[in-house]
Amino acid sequence: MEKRKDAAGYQHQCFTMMVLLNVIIVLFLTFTIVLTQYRVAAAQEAQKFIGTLKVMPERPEQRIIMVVFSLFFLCGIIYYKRKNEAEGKEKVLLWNVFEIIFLIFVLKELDMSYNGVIFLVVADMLIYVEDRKNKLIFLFIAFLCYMVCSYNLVTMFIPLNSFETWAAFYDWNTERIFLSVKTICEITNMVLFLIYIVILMMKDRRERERIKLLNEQLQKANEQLHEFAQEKELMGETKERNRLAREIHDTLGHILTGISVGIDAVLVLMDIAPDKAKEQLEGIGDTARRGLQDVRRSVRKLKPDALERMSLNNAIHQMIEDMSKVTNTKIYFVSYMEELEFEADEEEVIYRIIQESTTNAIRHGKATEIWIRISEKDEELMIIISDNGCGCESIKEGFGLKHIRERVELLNGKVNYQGMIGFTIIAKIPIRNKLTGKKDRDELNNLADNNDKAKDSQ
Amino acid sequence: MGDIKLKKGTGILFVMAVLFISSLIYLHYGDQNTLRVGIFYGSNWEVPGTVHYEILDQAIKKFESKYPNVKVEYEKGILSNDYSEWLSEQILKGTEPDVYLVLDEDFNTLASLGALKNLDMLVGGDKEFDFNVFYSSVYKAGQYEGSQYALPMECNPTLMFVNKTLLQKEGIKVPDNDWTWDDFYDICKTIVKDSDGDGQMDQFGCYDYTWLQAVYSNGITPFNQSGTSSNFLDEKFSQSLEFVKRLEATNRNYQVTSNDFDLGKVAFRPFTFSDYRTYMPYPWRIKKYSGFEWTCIRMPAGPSGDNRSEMSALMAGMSSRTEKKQCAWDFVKLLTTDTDIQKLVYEDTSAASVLKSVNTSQDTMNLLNKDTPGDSIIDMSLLDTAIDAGVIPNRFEQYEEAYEKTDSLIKSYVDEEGDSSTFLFQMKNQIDKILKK
Repeated sequence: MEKRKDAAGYQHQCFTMMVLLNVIIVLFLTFTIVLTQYRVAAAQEAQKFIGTLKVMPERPEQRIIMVVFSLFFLCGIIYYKRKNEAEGKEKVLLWNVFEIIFLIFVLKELDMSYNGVIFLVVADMLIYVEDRKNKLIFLFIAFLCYMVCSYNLVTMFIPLNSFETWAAFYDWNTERIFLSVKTICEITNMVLFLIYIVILMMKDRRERERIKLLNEQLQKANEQLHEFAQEKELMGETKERNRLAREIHDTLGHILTGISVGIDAVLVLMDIAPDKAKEQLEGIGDTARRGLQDVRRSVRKLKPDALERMSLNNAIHQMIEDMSKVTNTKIYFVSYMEELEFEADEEEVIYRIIQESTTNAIRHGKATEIWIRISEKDEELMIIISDNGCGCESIKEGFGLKHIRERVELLNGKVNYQGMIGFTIIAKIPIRNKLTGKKDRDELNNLADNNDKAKDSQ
Repeated sequence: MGDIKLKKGTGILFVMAVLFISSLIYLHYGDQNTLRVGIFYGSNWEVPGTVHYEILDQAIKKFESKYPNVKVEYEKGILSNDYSEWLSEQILKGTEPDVYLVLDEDFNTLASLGALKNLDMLVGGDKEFDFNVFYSSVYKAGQYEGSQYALPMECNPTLMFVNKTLLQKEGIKVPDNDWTWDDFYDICKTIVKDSDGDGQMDQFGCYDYTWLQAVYSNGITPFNQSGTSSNFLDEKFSQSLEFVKRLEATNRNYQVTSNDFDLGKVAFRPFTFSDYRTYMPYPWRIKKYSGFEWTCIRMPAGPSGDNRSEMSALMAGMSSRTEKKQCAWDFVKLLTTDTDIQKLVYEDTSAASVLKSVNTSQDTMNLLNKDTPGDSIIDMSLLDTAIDAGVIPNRFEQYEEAYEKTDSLIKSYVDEEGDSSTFLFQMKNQIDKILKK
């Protein structure tokens, strides 16, 4: 971590030095040329000097204005881009275009005598090129531009006055100083640029290595998690088995033991004292019934869902109450049906739809109010769940919605969603002979009750 | 906080952008109502008595009546000898005038630098402008690499001065305007003699007839048009050289001086038109050539050429950086193509007009022959044909250097004996090296 910070720091320092150096070189060259323009005129050597020029020189004021402002804008754009790195790609592209325009201004005003500014602009833009391959392509194009923009090449097609021509006005020593200052600055700039590239590439490589390492760690963690999950599943199974065993042991074992011991006693008493045996049998019957209740209670305890513990209506109410309490969401539930009783699998689906939809509305839609309506029309049950959440423009079926659809389709039903205003789910499920279903269940219940009663009366 | 900072940044950027653009606009369009003109004092033909200011003032008067909003300015007191340096300084400092006079020796440098505006578009786009009003020989002087960069304003052809008194004394008729080298040579040969019998020659055929004049009149130029090689190996060139050598021999080793001419001892001397104009009328005439009558005719024609002679021109061009393009163009046109202004060339300067119509008008002839005594009048067709046939050398970059070198080489060759073909071959090698620099 510390190392990475260092690299970024060096890179920044290197770049700052490049900016400073380029500003100095460009100003040095510009003012040398402009001053020479005036000095030649003052020395009354203009006619001779003009003969050595290849093209009419730019007006001194124009040259200074163009260079100073172009440099200001160039540095301003570079600074601005770095300050506001989070900006969109299009904006960066626009700034880059401006940057290139000002670069061209500077190059033109210096008659291509110094093109090291290209390196500065390349160094600046390189950090906005993402892919490693693109970076190399960009660098290649930049070097090509650098070569194309050199004085010696351009002057073959467009006449330009080289810096050497201006320096040649002075005596040999001064000329030598001017030219060597220029050369030294050019070389320093190039070296800084190379260092910058190396640091950038190293930083890049380190970043890639870090990402690779992190990926490996993530992979490992995932594997561990998977193992933990498996273990936990196993543990849960064992725990459940133990619980089951305990329940069976505590209730059934106890009762069956009592019953078996009681029946043994009855077998003995049967012949000796039939009344006593009868009494005993009644006692055993009681025990068995109590046992049955215990078993029922135990089984209920073992059941995971509210739905299996209570009626659909109650289960839904229970769920809504729990959900509102926990999440601070207002949930309104309206049923337009007399009774909410269906086949077990249908009830299951209805319960799941409501559960999944409300969860979605709260989790994804950030809804604060949810309306649930259940109605029936032409043997078809309609469930509408709507919310005031943020909805979504295009609906991507996630896990939850997919489950709902699959479940509803198993019952030959249909699901529709729309997310323009809040989010609304409409599910239509054909009800399987509701009356018969109910009757069957009533009959079954009655039968069971009767049996109980019969047993009780016995 | 960040927001304020950003706003401050944008503010600075905006202010700088406005400053940038406004300073550029000020630099280019700051002064739209002043047209600056570059002009010199005195004559560029090295004769006294010429002031261009009068022509310019008349032109300005005429121009300002057409453009009442535009004020034309010029700097007074720049001597013609300093003018090229002054103009170069102005160009370096970026303060050159919108319209300026161009000497023919500066023309090539200024056009190749791009200091002069290419006038092709203006010439082509201006229906009022017709280049046929100029002599094509002078119009071409403003061309560089096939494009027009300046328009001629004045020209100065070379003519042959004839000492009429001397010829009459020897019973020789003044030659016609279509005379040839042979006529010239014959007269020179007969005229050289010791008239008073003191054993010293005191009558000479010609003074100051140069190899270059012979070359031009033999239908050739020393260097090719683009200034990349010399034409020394051409037959016509060696003919010219031989002629000069033969002519020199007629003086029998006597070095004729200008004083001899002034004293009336020399029959012929090539002179420029401006010399004629300066010394012919009163009072110069009295001062300089009082002892004889003289006139001028065209230069003699060589066997392969005709009566051509060198001519120099003064041109007017506009700066390639001028923001007042149309104004400047109109002013250049006024200076060069307006007949009233061109007539002033004869009144105020010693040069000749570049307009055919002015040179063939009776007014001009009257003006020219005013103040000239006796029958030393200038013939109307002489000027017209001499200008028409004038040769304006292409002053390419190495012209001066190449010319000086050639001149000194030829002078030493003429004085000494030697094989002409070897000499010309060696000279071509030397001069071509200079030209290819």
